[in-house]
Amino acid sequence: MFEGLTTLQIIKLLLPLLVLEFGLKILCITLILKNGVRNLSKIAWIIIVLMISTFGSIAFLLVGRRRY
Amino acid sequence: MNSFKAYLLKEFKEGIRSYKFLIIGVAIIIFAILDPIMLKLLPRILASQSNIALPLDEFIKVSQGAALQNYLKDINQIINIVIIFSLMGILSDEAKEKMLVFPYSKGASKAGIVLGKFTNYAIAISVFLTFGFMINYYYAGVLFPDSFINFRVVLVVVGLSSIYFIFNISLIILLSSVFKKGIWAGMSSIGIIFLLPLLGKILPIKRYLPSYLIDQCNKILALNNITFDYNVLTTILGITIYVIILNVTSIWVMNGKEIA
Repeated sequence: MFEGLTTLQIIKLLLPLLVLEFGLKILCITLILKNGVRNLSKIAWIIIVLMISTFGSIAFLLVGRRRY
Repeated sequence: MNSFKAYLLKEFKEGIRSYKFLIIGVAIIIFAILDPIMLKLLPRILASQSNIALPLDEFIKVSQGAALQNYLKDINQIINIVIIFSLMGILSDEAKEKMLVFPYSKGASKAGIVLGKFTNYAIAISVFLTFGFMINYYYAGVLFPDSFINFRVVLVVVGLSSIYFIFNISLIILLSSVFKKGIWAGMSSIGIIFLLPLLGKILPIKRYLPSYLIDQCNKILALNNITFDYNVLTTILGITIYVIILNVTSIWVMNGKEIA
């Protein structure tokens, strides 16, 4: 699939993407459980964050996060 | 000047606290990494989806330049929407939640507040775009080593797209000062920003529109050469005037706005 690249190089290429994606999901789920949500229920937001890549987390941070 | 400095710092802290920087930064950087990978995999995905035994690599343009053009397209569409939705409540939410009462009563200047917000996000988005294009350039270079785009071309593209986004930010700030609800500011910003290129297709005013800069970025990337176009200078000068007008109008609207 990635001709001319070793497995280590492929992992190095994909690692930042995985770290960003999972880091964002972990942050969002922590915020949901710790601070609460608005517009939808906690379960709904957790499903959105887990199921929709990147945009699920962005949508939660934009419209689902509880503001103080 | 004191209000400007205070609001620049306040807006920087607010951007971190409200995750606005995180949202914009993640959107810009994830697409910078994802686009070249998806472009590399696209011929194989299409081949696996269809049973036609065609050499799809020959039909789909896959090169470092194509990856950068793809990223530019995503920045202009998806990331633009993310930026608009992140910043749509920049003034309307503060007015609605009465967050401006205390600064106003302490004598904060409205011009300082508007310009502080504008400068903060103009700098932040320019920095994120620079990082995004550098990351995209690196990834595209690793995945498509056969084609090579001149680094100076990428720097020019970063500069032109930053100017384009500076116009968008000043437009969002103006609409956020006009509307009471952030969502209306966001929807009208999307309408204006995406309708302007269409206006350029109907009327002979293309080079006076900010979207002309994105067209030029595409052209520069396709040619892999910085061809000096005097029309771009007209566009940049036009955008400078638009940004000044938009910011002055925002300050004027905020001056007349009832916040208590």
